[in-house]
Amino acid sequence: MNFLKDPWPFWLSGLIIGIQMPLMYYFFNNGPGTSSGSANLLKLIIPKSKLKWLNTERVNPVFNRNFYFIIGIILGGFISKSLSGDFKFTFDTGLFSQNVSFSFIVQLFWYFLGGTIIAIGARFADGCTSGNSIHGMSTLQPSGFVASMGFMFSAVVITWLMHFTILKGVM
Amino acid sequence: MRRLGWLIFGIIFGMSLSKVEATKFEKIYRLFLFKDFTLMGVIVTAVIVGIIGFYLLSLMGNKTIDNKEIIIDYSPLRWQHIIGGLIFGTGWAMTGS
Repeated sequence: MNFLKDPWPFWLSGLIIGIQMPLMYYFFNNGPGTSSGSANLLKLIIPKSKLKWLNTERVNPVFNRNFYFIIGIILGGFISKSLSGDFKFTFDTGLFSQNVSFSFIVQLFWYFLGGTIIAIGARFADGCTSGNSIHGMSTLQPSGFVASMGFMFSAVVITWLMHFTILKGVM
Repeated sequence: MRRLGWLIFGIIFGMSLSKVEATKFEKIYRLFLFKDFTLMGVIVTAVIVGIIGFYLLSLMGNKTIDNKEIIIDYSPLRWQHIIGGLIFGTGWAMTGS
């Protein structure tokens, strides 16, 4: 297996992600802030916003740990794809865009809507998959388990709905 | 130093997700159709490793590298976790990300 080029087995990614949680606390006494970091990006775009969510201590200053973490995630994805030689800038999402009969504009709107729903859900639930599922469950917090159950439950329902409607039964 | 540290944590985190193809629509879609459990394996492995890691930290006196008490970011259970979880999962399935 070529470590840098090929996809990794699940246990390797799981091991690396899992070990990062205690290491973050060991070095910086903080957990991950993936969905929180997106607020920093928004604050950069609209710095004068009066919105309460964009004026909490989490995004002040903008260039805080969450900002560097999320920039790192984006860089990491770029590095990963560059190493495997299949980096390209595209709106093609594979199985989805090849099977739905939506026009390009509707697909963009679909993704925008999905992203908005993710962001609203993540703020409501006080975290996303990294904050609630990985961090929350590995520190044995009841909220992490409850939120993760919520993620999985509605994702299964919506996926099957999509499967039988817009994706026309494709596996 | 802290900034560089978080940047490196982010790069490793992003690479791990990308390398296991968690960023592919198909992967998320097939996970929730119960056809491909790779990503479930990632989460389960990460949580088990995380639990062991936090246990080891507590054995070492629950101290950071500069000898401060570790304070876990605790989110007390509220009804918002269920509602938010259900909303988040909807978007998760829609975008497969």
